[in-house]
Amino acid sequence: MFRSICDDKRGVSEIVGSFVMILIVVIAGTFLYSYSVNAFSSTEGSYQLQTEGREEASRERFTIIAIWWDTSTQLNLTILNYGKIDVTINAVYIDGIAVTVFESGTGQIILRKGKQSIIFTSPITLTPGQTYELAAVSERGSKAEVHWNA
Amino acid sequence: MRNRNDQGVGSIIGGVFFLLIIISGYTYYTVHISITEGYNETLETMNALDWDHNQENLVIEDVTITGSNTLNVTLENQGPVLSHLIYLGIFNKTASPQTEDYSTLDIYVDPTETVTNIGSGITIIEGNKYIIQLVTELGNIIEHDFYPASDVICDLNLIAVPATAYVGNNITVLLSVTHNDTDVDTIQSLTVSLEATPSGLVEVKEIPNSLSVKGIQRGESTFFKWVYTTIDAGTVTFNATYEEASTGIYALSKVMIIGAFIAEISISGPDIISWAADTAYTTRFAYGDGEPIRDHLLLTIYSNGSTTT
Repeated sequence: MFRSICDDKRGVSEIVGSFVMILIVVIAGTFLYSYSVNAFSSTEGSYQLQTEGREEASRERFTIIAIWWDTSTQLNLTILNYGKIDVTINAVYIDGIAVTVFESGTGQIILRKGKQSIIFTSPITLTPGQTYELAAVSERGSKAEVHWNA
Repeated sequence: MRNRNDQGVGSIIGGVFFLLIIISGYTYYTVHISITEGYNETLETMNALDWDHNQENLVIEDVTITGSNTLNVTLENQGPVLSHLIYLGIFNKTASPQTEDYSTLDIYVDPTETVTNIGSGITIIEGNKYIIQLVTELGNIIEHDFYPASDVICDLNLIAVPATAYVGNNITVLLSVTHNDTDVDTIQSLTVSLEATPSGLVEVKEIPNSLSVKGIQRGESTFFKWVYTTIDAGTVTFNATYEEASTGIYALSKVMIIGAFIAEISISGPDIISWAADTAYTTRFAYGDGEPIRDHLLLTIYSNGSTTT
């Protein structure tokens, strides 16, 4: 039987052959198409996400407009949001040292044209007459700095 | 036999899929470009905002306390962009603890425009040290130190003329007060005083319309004028200062007052008929300790056939 199959000189019929070729093309084409769509989609998605983040960060503008000190350890920064997007301050630094004890103000959204007071305990000892560098940092990574004379 | 019409069907189908891939790729490229353009537009908008922020230039020209103890701030927009004032901050540095109060504003100031009566609803305690802060929508702050006279050092200049006067003459005393303290922008108000010692040598004849002045800006000078009549001989010292001035802030000026000096002149000679003293040309100078006598008296003497001057 095996020899009869090998010796058989008859081929697949044209109709079946055409069908098989079409099937192969369709399957390959579908595979290629879905693969390309997925690749484009994931690339585009990550690019869009990344660009949105950078765009939002570029729209942030805020500044420290007032600093109040109770002459011991408590400080009160007043932040003004003059950018094109809401801002949330989540970190404050004094001379590069992060503030760890906040009483109020962090994590709260500062609306456009709005201001917010951030009250905290200084992580370093403040001396009257000395100049310190205060920096407020937003959730998106924008920073506002000011040199303050205590 | 294979139908000619069936040939190339696989190629067509493959071509269709190829076309679909190209179209989807082009679609995502368009979306990519759109996202990038949106980001670039945002960057341009924020660059314009930063430009306006840097160009904005507001100057507080005057700060005074009104009669009803409210604030009156006058502001000029010296920049090229429209400014929108959104907050007014009043920091009372005298209060314990120090206070920070913000009031909302909604004032637009065109370039070269001057706006006044800012803060008209805010009560100010005269005598307290204040920092006045204006905040704009573009993120700029304008601060102004508004202190009482007790916390300011002014330059006083006192001149009394003439330096030597006769009894009965007038002495004019001029006082200039210049605010040149670099730590303070405006003095709330300042009241000057002038004392003559000993007081029995002179009598005040004219005093300034007002001894007080409000809202003195840094670099500004204010002038006061007194006129005294001398009533007795001696040296009078004028001492000028202002209320609540720190120790050592005063100005002095001295005037020597001398009594009337009478000289007797004898006129003798042949054939003198009369003589006349033309007082229009007469000038008498003081004779004081150590000073030479300078006495000019023009006499016209009439005698027979001649006139001698």
